[in-house]
Amino acid sequence: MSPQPPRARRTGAEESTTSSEASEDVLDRLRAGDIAALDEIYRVYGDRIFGVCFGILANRADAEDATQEVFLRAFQQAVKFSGKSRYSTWLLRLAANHTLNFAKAVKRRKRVSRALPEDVASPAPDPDHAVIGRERRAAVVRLLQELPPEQRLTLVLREIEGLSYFELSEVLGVPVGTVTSRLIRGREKLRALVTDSESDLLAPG
Amino acid sequence: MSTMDCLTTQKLLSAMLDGELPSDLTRSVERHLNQCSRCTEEAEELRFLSAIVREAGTRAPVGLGARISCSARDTQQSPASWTAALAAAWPRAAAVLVGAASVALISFPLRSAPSSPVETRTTFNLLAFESQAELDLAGSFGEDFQALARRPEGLLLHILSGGER
Ligand SMILES: [Zn+2]
Repeated sequence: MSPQPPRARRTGAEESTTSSEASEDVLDRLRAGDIAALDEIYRVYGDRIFGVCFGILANRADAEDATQEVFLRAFQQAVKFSGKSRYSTWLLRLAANHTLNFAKAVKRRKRVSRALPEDVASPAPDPDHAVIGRERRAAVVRLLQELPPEQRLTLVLREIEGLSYFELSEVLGVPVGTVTSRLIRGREKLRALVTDSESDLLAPG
Repeated sequence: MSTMDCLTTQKLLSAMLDGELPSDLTRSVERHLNQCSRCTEEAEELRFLSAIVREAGTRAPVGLGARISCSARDTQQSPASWTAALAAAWPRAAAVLVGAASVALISFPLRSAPSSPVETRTTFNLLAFESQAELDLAGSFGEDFQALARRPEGLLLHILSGGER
């Protein structure tokens, strides 16, 4: 069997990032405090940032709040983006830091951080994913919650965002070797969880 | 050419499937997979895992963008007041903030209640939630507080609306 054909946004590092970056002009306007520029930024990155936040937080309300916070920070701190990295990298770093802190705080509050089924089982209408089945998605998101936050974040950024290892190391601020081992350990753990879950939804094939 | 062993193959599988291995190593792993059913099975499982996590991705809900630009507009009116902007278009956080603000106001009753949006922001500024951790702390005041704050006759809502205490 050959690998699954990837979704458009995930066709490898080069394409995933160059085809969907905001223009310099928009970033300049954002720095100048132009709300319309923020709207454009959101149109380009909104789904991606929300997808990552949801993958980490497993709760739509939290993911919405986190997404809002990320974009508001992007707006308020627009001048801090120097252009040294890609804008998506910078934005994802904001999202990563925020969701990681949030996830850790949640974990501290309640040792067992299982998302409520209704939180994950009622996604917004989403034609692309209609066939996949909400229950399965909910089950996966719940299982992801069992991973340590760093592993979860790395895995979600890899699979959902399609970031390369180099991009992951930039976004997460860790060496590529750490990225590699987090992915190996995260996948091992997730595989064990899927096996243990005995859910038909998660049976391959 | 010598063939790679199972242990090495399995260590490299994750990075190989991510397309992160140099091509010569990728070829070595592929050669091993061609003659080892156990490692092939391992690879299939990893592909399956990738697929299900990928499918867990979802789109942003309709209206979130509008909510964000709305609150950004608010921050612009009062650039110093970042928390207030959040509160303006962030109902859940607002409830938490309102709950916490009640605490602040109970401790330090304000003589003149804020009556305009700008003054309201000033009230929020007193709270100065700089981090999610602090916000979480405010959230931990519990349901009762938030319920109180949410009620029309809730203490702070009363104050926020410019009424007398
Ligand atoms: Zn083998």
